[in-house]
Amino acid sequence: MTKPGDDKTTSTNDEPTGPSRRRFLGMLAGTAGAAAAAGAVYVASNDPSPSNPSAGPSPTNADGSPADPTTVPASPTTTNNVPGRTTDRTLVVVELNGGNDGLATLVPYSNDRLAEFRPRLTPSESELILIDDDYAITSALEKNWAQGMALVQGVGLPNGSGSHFEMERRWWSGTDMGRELETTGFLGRLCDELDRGDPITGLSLGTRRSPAMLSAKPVTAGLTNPGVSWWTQQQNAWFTNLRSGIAAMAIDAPADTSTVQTARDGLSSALDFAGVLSGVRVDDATNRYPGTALGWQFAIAAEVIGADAGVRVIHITHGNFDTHDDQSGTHKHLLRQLDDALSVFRDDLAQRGRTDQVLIATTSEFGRRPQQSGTGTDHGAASMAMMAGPVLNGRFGEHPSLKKLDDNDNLVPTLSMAEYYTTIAEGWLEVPASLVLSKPPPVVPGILDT
Amino acid sequence: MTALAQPSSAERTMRAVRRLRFAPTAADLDLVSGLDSTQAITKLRETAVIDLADDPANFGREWDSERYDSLLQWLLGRLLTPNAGLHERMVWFWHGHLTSSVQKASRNQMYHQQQLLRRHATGNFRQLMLDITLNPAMLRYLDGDRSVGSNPNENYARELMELFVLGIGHYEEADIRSAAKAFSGWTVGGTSGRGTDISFDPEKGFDAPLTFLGERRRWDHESIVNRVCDHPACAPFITAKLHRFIAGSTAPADFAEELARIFVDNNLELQPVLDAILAGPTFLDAAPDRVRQPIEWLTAAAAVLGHQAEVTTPDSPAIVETWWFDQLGQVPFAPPNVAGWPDDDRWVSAGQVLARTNLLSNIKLPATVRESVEPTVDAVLRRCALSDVSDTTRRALEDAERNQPVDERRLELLLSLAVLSPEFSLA
Repeated sequence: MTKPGDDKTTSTNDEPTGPSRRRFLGMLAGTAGAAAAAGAVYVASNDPSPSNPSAGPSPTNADGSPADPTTVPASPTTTNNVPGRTTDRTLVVVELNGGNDGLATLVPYSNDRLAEFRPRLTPSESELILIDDDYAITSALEKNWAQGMALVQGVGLPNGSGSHFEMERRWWSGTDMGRELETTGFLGRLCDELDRGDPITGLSLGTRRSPAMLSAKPVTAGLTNPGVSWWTQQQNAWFTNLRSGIAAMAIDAPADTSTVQTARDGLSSALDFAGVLSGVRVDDATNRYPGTALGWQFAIAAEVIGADAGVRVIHITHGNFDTHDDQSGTHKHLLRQLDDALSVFRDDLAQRGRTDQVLIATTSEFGRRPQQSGTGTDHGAASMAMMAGPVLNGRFGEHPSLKKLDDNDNLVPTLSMAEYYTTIAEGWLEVPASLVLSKPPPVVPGILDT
Repeated sequence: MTALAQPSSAERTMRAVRRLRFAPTAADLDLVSGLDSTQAITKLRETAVIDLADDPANFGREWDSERYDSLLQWLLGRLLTPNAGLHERMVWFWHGHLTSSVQKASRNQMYHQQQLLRRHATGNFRQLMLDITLNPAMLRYLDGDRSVGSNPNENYARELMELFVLGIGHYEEADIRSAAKAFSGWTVGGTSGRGTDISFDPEKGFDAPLTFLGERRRWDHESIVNRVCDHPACAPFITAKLHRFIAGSTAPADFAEELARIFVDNNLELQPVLDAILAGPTFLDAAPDRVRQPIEWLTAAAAVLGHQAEVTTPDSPAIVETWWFDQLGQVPFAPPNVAGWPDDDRWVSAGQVLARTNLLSNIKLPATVRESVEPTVDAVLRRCALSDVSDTTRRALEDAERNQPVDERRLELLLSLAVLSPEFSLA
């Protein structure tokens, strides 16, 4: 772990924040100069994207047949490696906050103990898509299951706690024991390693900037749906003049100190980024994304990835999965929202030729207790996680035992957070896990299809 | 770094305003109108509010629901109090230096800590450290609460020396272990740990000789803090950080030495050091190389835009909705870690500009501002307490003035651009 104060107070004047600035100033200097001065650089890409997600790939596993971990997932794409296009591996983490119930997501339906533990929560057959003789996935995730998913079983932390705060902190920071006060988050450290001088390497899209994205270098940013988004107001003269004014202030002046230069870099990089975001459409006629908070986050993510803006890690949040009561209704509703937004996102990535470039991975601070509590469940330990994109389909690892519970009657993890994170860091992003985790275990083999 | 040209006389006066008010208002600018910078400093200090708060002793549910949604709004009320000046800036300085967080301390404990910082903000550093050492929020945050002498928690002992008083490299790991023992035995807030009373149990403490910074004797929290404050590394460490915060630049070596000497000669009283910084060679003349933290930027922008913390009428909307703190990456009472918020250029990075521009795209100007501020470049710069700005900034504003019709929110446009300018982003 980085010690407090080691490098967080380092001046970043020497950070290579140049590329996008130069790119932008190049635009000003070149043929687009006049247009840029008038703000016309930020014309929306109004081409109505094909809005027929169902015309995508033929679904796999829709019949509930056992997923074959050896088959390549039905990638709906023809990844066109356009010369010059960056196809950097990108990570989208979807945090299911509140504690997602693994047992209601990937259901061990043949296990008698499940019905004993949860007489009021047992799903009907129509609510399940059978994977094999013993396990089924909730039908709330039918679209994504059809598109292909890896279900990683038994994910959790050794010596877990029942506190949301404590467990969130461990997941955000990527440390098994959250007692020390961490200075950075797991995703933030990844961004520190992935940074190549682009203005934003990590983007946090939830209603709060995720502590998981805390980085030592200024390479991550938070973006929350602000209501009026200045980057989408293309037809409004006030916003055009605002953008032109920002562009004009981004131009160097002779007496600039290095701090002023850095501030100008920030202005121009923000404008570049706003240009990327200008194509985002969430709630107009061409909208494909659901008008939910989650839909907005995925729409932004797709646009940013499609623009090769240098963003490598995106954090999305969804919740609240803290289903102490009315679990059946709430949990299903939340997963359906996820299914709707995520499937559109995946279709969008496919249309952009980016399916194989983007790993989608869920996290959640813990699972729920096997034993029901009224109409809900209390905080548990092991859960499961979902991965999509360049992954093999089906169940992975070992499902936690419903017989051998821990001292608090919770599921015992069979795969550690550290293993999960190592698989993401090293297996996918090719960042040595030792740079972002202390004492990392090996990559879990067989999940990623890279 | 290229040196800026010598600031004009008007700019020196404006710098005095920017650095001696937490969030400069039009009234502050009127106050210094026609004054040179020396007169302005005097005037601004004479009129500054030292807000030791007419607030009740506890941040209770009844009280805050009447006036504020949250502790954040209460703090904003303080930061945006007209004439809140150097004292308020020092309160903020200490909050970022002697960190604690609602992640581990209760809201009321954080409120109590704020009151402590308010009492000592420009007082005696030694007394501040003695008091903060046994402050309930600090005991909770750095695990002094329930630390026992036989197996003490080292968190506070380490950070006291590394982050709060000396800086790394002036002590050994063994000194941390000794200090941790001397700090043990304290408990906070009853069984819940949420209250603000503390108690000492000698049974849980450590009562035997210890070696600390080379001296073997019986130590307790008071003697440890005093010994650390007497360490020669203390004064340079504190005065350097203080100078950078107040004057917006790093002090040159000779002036830094002078400030440290003044601090020691005055038994670690803060006021003489502040006086020296304000009268020194850097306060108005050095090119700023520190950027405003989000809270500094947000409150200054709020004052420019005529927004207040505690407002709900349509004519006087609140810019300062507390979720903006999170968007800007700086939530009071919740520093990212014990080192506080980083002092670097991330506060002018692309993400910051995106968020700030979002904020500005969603604001409404109150009628009082629309009616009192001319929609011209000069009037807008003055309202921002800026005088010398770069050609590019001035040209950007002039273009906006020319292109945006006056009755189509020209004033909003000019004000928005001005608060986004590099010049307004500097401390």
